[in-house]
Amino acid sequence: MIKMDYTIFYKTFKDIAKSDEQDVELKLLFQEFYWDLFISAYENTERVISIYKNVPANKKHWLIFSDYGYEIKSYPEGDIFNYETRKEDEFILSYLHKIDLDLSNERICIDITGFLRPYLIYLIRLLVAKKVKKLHIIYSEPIKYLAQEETKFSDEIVEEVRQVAGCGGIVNIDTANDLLIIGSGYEHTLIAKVAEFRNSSRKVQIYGLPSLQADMYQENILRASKASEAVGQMSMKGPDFYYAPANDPFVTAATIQRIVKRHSDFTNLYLSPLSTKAQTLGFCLYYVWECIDSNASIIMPFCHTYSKKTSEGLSRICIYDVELP
Amino acid sequence: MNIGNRNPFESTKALYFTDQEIEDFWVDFTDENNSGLKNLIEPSSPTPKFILGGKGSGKTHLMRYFSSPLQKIRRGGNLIKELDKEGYLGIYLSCSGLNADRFQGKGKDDDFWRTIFEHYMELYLSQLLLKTLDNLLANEHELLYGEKEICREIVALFDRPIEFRCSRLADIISFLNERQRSIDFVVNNIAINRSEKEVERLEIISTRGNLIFGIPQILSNIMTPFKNILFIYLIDEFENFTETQQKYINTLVREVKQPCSFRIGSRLYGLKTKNTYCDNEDLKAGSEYEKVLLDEHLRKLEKQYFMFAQKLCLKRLAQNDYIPRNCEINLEKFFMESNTIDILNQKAKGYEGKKRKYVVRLKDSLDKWYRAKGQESISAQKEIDDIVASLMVEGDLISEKLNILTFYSEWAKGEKDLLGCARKIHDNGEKFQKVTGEHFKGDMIAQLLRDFDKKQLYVGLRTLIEMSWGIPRNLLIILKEIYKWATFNGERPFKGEPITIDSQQKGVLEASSWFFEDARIFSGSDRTAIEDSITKLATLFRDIRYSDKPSECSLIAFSIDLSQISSEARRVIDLAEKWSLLVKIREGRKDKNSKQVMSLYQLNRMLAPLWDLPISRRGTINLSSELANSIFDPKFKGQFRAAAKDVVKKMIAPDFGKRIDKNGKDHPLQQTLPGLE
Repeated sequence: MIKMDYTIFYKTFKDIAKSDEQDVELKLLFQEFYWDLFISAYENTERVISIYKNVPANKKHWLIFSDYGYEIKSYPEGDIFNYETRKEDEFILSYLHKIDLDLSNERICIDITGFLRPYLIYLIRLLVAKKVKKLHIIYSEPIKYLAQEETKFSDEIVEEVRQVAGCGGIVNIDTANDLLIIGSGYEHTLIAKVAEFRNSSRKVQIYGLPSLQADMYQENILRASKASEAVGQMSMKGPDFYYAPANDPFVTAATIQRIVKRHSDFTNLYLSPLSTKAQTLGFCLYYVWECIDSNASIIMPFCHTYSKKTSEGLSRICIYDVELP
Repeated sequence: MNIGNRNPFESTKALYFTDQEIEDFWVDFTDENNSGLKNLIEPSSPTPKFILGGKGSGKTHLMRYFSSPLQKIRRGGNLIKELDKEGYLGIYLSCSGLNADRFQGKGKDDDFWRTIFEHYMELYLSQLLLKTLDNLLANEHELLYGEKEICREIVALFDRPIEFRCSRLADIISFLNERQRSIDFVVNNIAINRSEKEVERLEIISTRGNLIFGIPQILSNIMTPFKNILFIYLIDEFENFTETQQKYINTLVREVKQPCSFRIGSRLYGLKTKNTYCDNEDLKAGSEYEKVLLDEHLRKLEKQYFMFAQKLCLKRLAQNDYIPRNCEINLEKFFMESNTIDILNQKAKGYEGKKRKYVVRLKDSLDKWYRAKGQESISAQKEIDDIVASLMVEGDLISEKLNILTFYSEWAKGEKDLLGCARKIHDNGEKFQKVTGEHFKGDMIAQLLRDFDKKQLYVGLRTLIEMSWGIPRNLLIILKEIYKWATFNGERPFKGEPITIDSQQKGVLEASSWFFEDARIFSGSDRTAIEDSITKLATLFRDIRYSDKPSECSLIAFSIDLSQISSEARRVIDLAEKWSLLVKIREGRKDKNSKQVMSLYQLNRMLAPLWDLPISRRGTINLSSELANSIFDPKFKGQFRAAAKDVVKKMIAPDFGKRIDKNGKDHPLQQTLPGLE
């Protein structure tokens, strides 16, 4: 495995005031950027729509995942790509086949805010295979989640837990010291499902701290603790818990690196990012830089349906300069 | 002695245990034939077995106990020389370790994945076997005489000659591992580039079963320690395989060759098919395999399970230094027991006789009844007072409740002379209380606790073990939660003072909630249907239990003619059983009218505290098809409230399901539902 120093990556954070001038602020923020291709996953929230509107790009694409259940009449304006399939590889491969671009020569920006995690993970993995070396990734933070710690991001009816396509590993038949690293978000049922799926693995959880908003850490802990029997943790303060900023993929990746180093005698490594998209990106970066074709894989729970709107407002934008191997 | 501070019941899953811990925490128990859990596995029997059990029933613990690493520990590290005494060699595989879900989709058809998966399993299981062998033979130089010949014979099992340097087992393991890894690589990369080039590089080098059965045959022929040894593939967590993948394993079971056998562990809901690739025939129970229902087996042996559970707790406490090892302690002393009567009598002091809620209800019912008959005079009021006074028993709440219950029963049958009835009960109190009390004492105590705003009591070790009902993990979770609450409440559990009733109550409720939530989480898209059904059923039981005149005592079970309900209702009942929320009582019950054998189900005891229900089953109710559909079929859920009300109102004074006119004549309020008496 390559050992990557994730501290070299640049990131820009910009707080956005809630005002009529929001569009102006966004335009000012983006004025030093220009992209050939901007990709966003449609979600009917202010943060996703206003970014799409103000981002400067030659081509802007909406990806509409059927998992959200949007009806055609509620589709946004713009270039839309939607496919019936709910398989992340089929969707993204169909999209890339349709646009037929040499991505390694495009200046790419992806807004990951509205992405469903498996699609995001697969897309990043595929960009590596397509020899894309650099891109920008945007993640926007809400003012708040609609129901605080009771916010439902999905119906939490898990249809299956499996590897994300393309993110499997070489299996070590010795499973005595398997390690599962979970990015623990609000959805305790998903955490429990993944933990049960990898029943015999040692589990380590990463919580988002600092959280996106001040009260979100407590909300996160309250929800995630409901999965404690499935996870089988000894103590909230024990070595099975780590913290990484909820909006920083690079520190998240570095944290995973630290965990793996501490448990270096693992037999198989499973990564399951179930928290913010920014942390999911961190899991993904760790995987593509250090785990491809090794005994590590990314596993996710796949739900029946996902919530169309879970948050309100736009409080901050994060722009990550991502480099890929 | 070092008094522990850890929660001794924290670790509730065998999968977390090291091999040594599996051995250390092993507890067996014997049934009346003096055979224990070993006989469930029957490691010397060549007949394959499917071992099914609910979550936490101990399948993994049981299967790992019979695996080679544990055999080695038990033989002091010298398994190879004592293998003949064992009679078998256990090769353990957890299906979840294969990540079998990846063998599907990605633009390839089912036939492709079937071929790849079968070959992968061949390589995987063979590696496990050979690694086990390699481990056994390490440092046993005198036994390595046959190694070269074994290697030669194994290579000959491949479908075509393969050239590679092979003089030691490690070489074959390495070769198989490289083949397995190349499949891993290709399977993963198909998702990225859909390239046929990589796929073409894959080569199937062995037909189904050649290595899995062939290698044990070779070992048996060549190496003395393996003669007459049964090679048992212990395949655990079978529910993680898809239907197609299970079909493949079923085929291996059918095609099993000496000296091999299988023990396959799965959750109750985990068997997706019995089909095989042998002309698509199903495996035949009895001749080709045996089925063991682990928790059903443990539930039947109540006395033995109680002893087993105590031993399990003792081991945990000893391992965590709460008590000395190998000491016999009466664990019940660590749990405060309730003296319900004292609690009730204490509480009753604040409620002088006639102000007790059940007395107030009785008076209200009598008042309504007399009014309906057109009698509102002072004499009616006096009669009510006399009735109430006749039924009261000074200083004995339970006898009082039993008197009132007897009175309600007579009243419901149509007794018109209520005062005469009450006086008769007063004069023959003891006799009536004995008869009624035999069946309804527990329910009357429950009603009293409720009336006095006290929680139902699920305390004492015996009760906790009963609640777990054959599932050791349930008991561990109950005790884990109780320990947490006791510690939170400032107590020192297992360090001398008994755990208080309050801590036990809270821990039990926590465990019950977890049990229900856990089943709901893991039932996927059926979650809502199962949750609603169980809630409705339990609510019905509760309403009956706390009615004026419960039709059945200690009610937590129902009988049903499954052929008369909708297919969706049957499916939901089946699911609820598979998730252990309902338990099917195998013996069934003959309907007294139709003489048909009805299916009998009981609500899992773990759920009882959530609805203040009893743990032990005595009476059952027969659900009509309409009521059953309204409970279990979402299509009919809107009818539940009316249907349940129709049942319960027969147990509520003063009407008991009838309307009384001014002439004192009874009229049914609504037609009785078919099948309900």
